[in-house]
Amino acid sequence: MRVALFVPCFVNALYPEVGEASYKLLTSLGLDVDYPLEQTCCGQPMGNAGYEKDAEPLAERMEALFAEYDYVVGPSASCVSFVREAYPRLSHHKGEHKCLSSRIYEICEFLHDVVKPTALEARFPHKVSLHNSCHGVRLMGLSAPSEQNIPYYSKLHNLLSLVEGVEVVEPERRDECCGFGGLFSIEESAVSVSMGRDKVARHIATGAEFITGADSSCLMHMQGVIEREKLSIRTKHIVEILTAQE
Amino acid sequence: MSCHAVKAKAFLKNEERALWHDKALYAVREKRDRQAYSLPEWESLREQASQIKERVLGNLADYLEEFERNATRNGIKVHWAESGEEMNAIVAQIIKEKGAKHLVKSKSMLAEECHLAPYLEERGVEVVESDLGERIVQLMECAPSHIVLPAIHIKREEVGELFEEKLSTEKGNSDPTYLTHEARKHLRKKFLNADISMTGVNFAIASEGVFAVCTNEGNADMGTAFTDTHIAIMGLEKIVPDMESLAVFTRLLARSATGQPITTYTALYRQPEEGKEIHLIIVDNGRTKSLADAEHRTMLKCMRCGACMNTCPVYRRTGGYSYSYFIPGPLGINLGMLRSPEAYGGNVSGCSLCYSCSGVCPAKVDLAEQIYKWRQQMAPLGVADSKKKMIVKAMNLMMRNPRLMNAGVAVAPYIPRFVYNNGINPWCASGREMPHFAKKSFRVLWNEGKIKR
Amino acid sequence: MTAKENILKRLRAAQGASVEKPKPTFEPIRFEDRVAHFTEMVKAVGGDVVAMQGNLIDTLAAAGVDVTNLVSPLEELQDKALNPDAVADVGELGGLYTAVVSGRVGVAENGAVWVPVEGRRRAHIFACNHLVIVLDRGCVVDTMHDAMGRISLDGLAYGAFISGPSKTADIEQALVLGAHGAMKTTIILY
Repeated sequence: MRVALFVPCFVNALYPEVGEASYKLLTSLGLDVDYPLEQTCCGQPMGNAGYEKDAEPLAERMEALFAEYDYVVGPSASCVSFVREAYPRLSHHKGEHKCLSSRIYEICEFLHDVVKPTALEARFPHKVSLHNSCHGVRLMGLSAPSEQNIPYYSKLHNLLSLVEGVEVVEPERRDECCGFGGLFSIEESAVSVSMGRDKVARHIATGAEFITGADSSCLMHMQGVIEREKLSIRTKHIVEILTAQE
Repeated sequence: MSCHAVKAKAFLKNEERALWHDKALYAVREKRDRQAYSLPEWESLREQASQIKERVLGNLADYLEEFERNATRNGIKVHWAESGEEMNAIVAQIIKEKGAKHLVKSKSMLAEECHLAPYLEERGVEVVESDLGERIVQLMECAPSHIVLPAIHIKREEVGELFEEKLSTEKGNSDPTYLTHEARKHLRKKFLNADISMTGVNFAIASEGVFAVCTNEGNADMGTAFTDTHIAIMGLEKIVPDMESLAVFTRLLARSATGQPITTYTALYRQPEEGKEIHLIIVDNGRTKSLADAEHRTMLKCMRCGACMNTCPVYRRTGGYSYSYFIPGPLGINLGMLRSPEAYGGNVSGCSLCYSCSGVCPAKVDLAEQIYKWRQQMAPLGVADSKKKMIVKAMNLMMRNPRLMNAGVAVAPYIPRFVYNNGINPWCASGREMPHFAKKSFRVLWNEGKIKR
Repeated sequence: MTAKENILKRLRAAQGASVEKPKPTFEPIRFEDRVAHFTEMVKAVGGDVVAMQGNLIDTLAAAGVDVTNLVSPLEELQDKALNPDAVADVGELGGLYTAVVSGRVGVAENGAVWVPVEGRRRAHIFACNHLVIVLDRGCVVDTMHDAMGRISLDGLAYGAFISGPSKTADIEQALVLGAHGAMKTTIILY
């Protein structure tokens, strides 16, 4: 099984430690992981802004970069869900490779549904508040959306239960949007920040030390609010907890 | 900035009020959740409703004819209106023929859509809104800010002051029970004085020629019981095939709207009583055009429960008036675009694409997906925001050229923070710090062999 | 062309391919004790349920109803109540009184009762201060699906499912009973 690591553009520039933890996590489970160079962006920001067509060259580039791999795995539910939803419309890939949309996974989803580890060598003796991101929950099914009457489940929670010492809680309004939303965060910045403040406050109210989740973009937005308001809680991508050795 | 962003920012200036608005509506969403969770078949019920509506949309002409045939047989006088103006003219004509002067009406979004009340008032007809929330906004001379909870944005003290002025209630008394019962007395006189009544239509049952009107207050039924002429107006998509379908929709409507198991009154109007008349006007006003739009026709499945507004994190924090269309929230963004992209394109930014609306919709209308699609149509329609276009062009340039991006990523950590982390940057201006660029990107670390197992 | 013809023509051009009417894919909820659940739901929506004790008038009196001020089309109350169909002007039904009517189907899932109006007046159902609905406990069904199968509209001008007293929450979402119609609703089960 050939696995490629997809490190989204902003994770590459801002959070290399998330890419690093992703690599560690996958290789620690015995997987052969490659990182094709010259990755840029999946095109989601263009799509959400109303310029999905502009993402076509990026989709073509992604298809070419990842053509040879059985699985492509990335630490961002939002980017992965964009590839899944939009690439069948955007990339005109030909030949023997299946469309990337059918081979790409968010890393927790990949572990939970494909690799299915029964143990992880990780220890993180802290209380964490789970950030159930909109695209992770409602587009990808990482957990049961609060809107629907289906039995509760959470793939993130299940994986965190393999980490020694961690206490996992969820905020009130467990999957309400944090207000990032790509260019929404700029175009509707007042609303975006208001939503971010409310979300951070609800995470803080759990008494957790960390906010964790599978979407770096939400965490980035909330971290911006936390730093501006000099709040005590911190954000940490879930792969860093799944590989923690504290 | 889009017109929604501008008005949203103004609404959020009063933080305490915005928070109050958000909480009031989230509580309604939670009531809805409790109802949804209490029925094991909830998700199947939504699917059923969606499929029934699919069936209706594909056979709308036949169903409308069937409905008209049966309603006419029952003694209901059926009229057809191509536009809002035509509907208004028909209403005015009926009122004139009956020599009526005092119309008492229950809530109808179609009446709002067609600006019926001002039209009639200009022609000397007294129009009394009988739903309490609608009466409050009517007396305040403002528009409803929510389709089910029209006065959700108004505080009790403000209602108290309004009633003190208009209904001579006790000074300083803003107790909701007191104010509601004073409004009851005031409106009771209006009901008894009315000479004609109007209602909307929640569902028109084709197989029976019967229509259903749902209220909690009983105001629609008060109006029609005390007057000899009842005018009902309906958008042509309000058809359901039969009573079995009505069961599905009555199970979903109030649970989704207000978290009640059913509306207090679900009235079925079949024929006028002896000596009375029922007129029913079937209105198009752009609906056939929406039906022809293959991408967006699904909006015609909407049963106007308002659940998408209650769950929308943007609507809750920005209020109904921050949208330029008379219907706010995810529903209004979509219906506004179907009405006129030129006039209402400024609302499309008011969505973080959280997809919660699609998950609560009892007819499974994919509201968020629809908004995403509209965003793609903004530029081709010529109504896109030029600044946003520029940002996207800049991103394109960067992301399509890995060398350029890598160079940028390499330089970024060495640019002094104050250059971009300042009040000119809208990210920061609104209350956030910029993220910190890593000294070495993941790509660089990988190339240096520093990413280890 | 008339408005109707224009609209139908546009609809036929726009509506696309017909799809079949869906078959129900689910089994609606069933309650172990329907009457108990119905009672619970009526209370949840602000109403009350009492059992018939002896005759109707005694039951009304026991429920605190002023039996000297009744409006009812029911046969057995004809010497005790004003018949709404007997009033010359419907405006006479605008005052304060208790209305007693007959319900045909009770719905356990939502506490609603199907009240068909067979006479020419129905204003009393909404204008009264207190609405009393008399219902056969054997006519309580589980859900609206069952209820729709039970009701007959033939020859009827009007009927309503009524679930509890009139209510509103239009002022700051504070629930207030008695917005326009009945302030109180009592179901008498026999």
